[in-house]
Amino acid sequence: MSAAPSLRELQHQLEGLFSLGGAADCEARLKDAESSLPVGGDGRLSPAQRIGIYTDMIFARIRDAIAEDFSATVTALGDDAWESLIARYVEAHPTDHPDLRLAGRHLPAYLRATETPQIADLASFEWALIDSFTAADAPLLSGDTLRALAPEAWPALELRSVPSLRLLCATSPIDQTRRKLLDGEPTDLETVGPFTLRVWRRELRVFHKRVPPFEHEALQHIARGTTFADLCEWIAEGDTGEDASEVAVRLLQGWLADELLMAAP
Amino acid sequence: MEAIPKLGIGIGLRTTHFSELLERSAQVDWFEAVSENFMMDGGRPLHVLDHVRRDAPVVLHGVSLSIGTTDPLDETYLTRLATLARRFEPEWISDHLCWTGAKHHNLHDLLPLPWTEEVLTHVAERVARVQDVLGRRLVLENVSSYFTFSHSTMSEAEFLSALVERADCDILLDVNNVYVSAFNHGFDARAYIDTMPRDRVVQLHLAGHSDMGTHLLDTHDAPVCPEVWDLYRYTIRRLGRVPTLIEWDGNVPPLATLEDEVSRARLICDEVDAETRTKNGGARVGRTFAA
Repeated sequence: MSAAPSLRELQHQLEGLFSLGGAADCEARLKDAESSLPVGGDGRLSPAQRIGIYTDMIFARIRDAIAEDFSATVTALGDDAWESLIARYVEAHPTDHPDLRLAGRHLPAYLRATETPQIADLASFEWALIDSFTAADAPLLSGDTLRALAPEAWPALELRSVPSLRLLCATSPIDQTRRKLLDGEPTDLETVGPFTLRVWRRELRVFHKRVPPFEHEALQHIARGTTFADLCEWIAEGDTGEDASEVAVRLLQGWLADELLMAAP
Repeated sequence: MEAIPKLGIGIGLRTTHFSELLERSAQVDWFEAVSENFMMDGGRPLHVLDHVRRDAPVVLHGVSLSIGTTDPLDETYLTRLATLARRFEPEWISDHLCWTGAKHHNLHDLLPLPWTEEVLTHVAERVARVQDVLGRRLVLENVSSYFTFSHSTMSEAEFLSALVERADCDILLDVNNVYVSAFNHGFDARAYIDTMPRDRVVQLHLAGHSDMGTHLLDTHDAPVCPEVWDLYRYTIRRLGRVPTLIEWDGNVPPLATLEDEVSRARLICDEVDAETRTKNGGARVGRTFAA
């Protein structure tokens, strides 16, 4: 009888078998491997069947956890296509994080390379909603703070977005599409964009809103961190035909009302 | 080391009940929060945990420490766990006696270990490191399993008992897992309970499972079955009124259903207490007459 494998050898071999959940030849590969492992079987279940219990559970758990976060994407693809997609995705991106919630974090980028832009956009939107839900809390910039600001201090005023802000640019109306898919209404994923959206959290609730491309771009500046003077300069470059500071103040009022701006540290 | 508090009967903190828990107090003694579900930077889950923590004790229960893997300990994970513990001051921190992945992949399952001296040394060393980081004893839970290793040199119960002595850690005894594994591997569940060192078992778990015909699956998606309630009663008789938690993770029912399960566990504890008082009273009467 050969010596028992070390714990490391054993775990490396089993890890490979436990990761076979989505593979078409999973059962045959488990059967091939069973004689090389010190795993017991009995009249009820062979060693391969016992290992297979884990293999099946692991795949199902990861698949279902990801599906929970991408409900509309699952509906758009259909169950069979989703099952096959997740098998390929998990093979390309084995779960490497202790938090199962993050198992789907690479899916939007994976879909960008493998599916239509519309499906990738829909998945990006769904992930933005999830990501925003658990983003860091932050103290908000208040209207009182701005009202108390001396006129000479305005140019250097630092503008930063709350950590939960996510900005999206999509080729189709993903907000409508998602709603229809979740409500079971017919929808198509035709390209009619671009659509620009923001996703953010106010207190504990996540919101999303379509915004004009101009505001979308302004928010990109805010997300990177800018000053009021730099924001005005960027607006002026756009030649809106209005006074840049008036446009900036109007944007700020909307963002303050929606709790999009963070207080200075 | 301070004595472990006697918490009573608690339930797992699950998203399904978040809204209800913000509106009313549950009729339970404490909550167990899955550590990884709260390792985030902000948002509703942390708000809810803050809320329940104001009125009830909380325990952190992890699923991804992977104490038995041969990969290096995930120091980032440990740091996040320690940060979470500083914020919520749990009564204790638990995880599972298992491995959850290898080659830096996390399989998100509680995988069985061989019960050998090599593994005992390996796990004890890692427990020591975790306890250093956390500054407290780690509590480890027995998992349900679907196969065993033919080169094991001791039983799971013997391994767990040896580990807690060697690593100076504590035990979360999952009564349902004992029942499930006993069925799957054909050992005596009560003998397993008998092997547990009484002073090391700080918590019990109860949960439902599924009968797959050839084996039992630890699904946490059903009420505790009568056989597991019986084994719980046996465990309380052997180990005393150990803090107990009702786990329910799949098809999570309304909070009221979990409160019913909590009441049932309390009733069993009360009945065992009454038996003990009767027995002790009888013994005292006997001694008086003998004197």
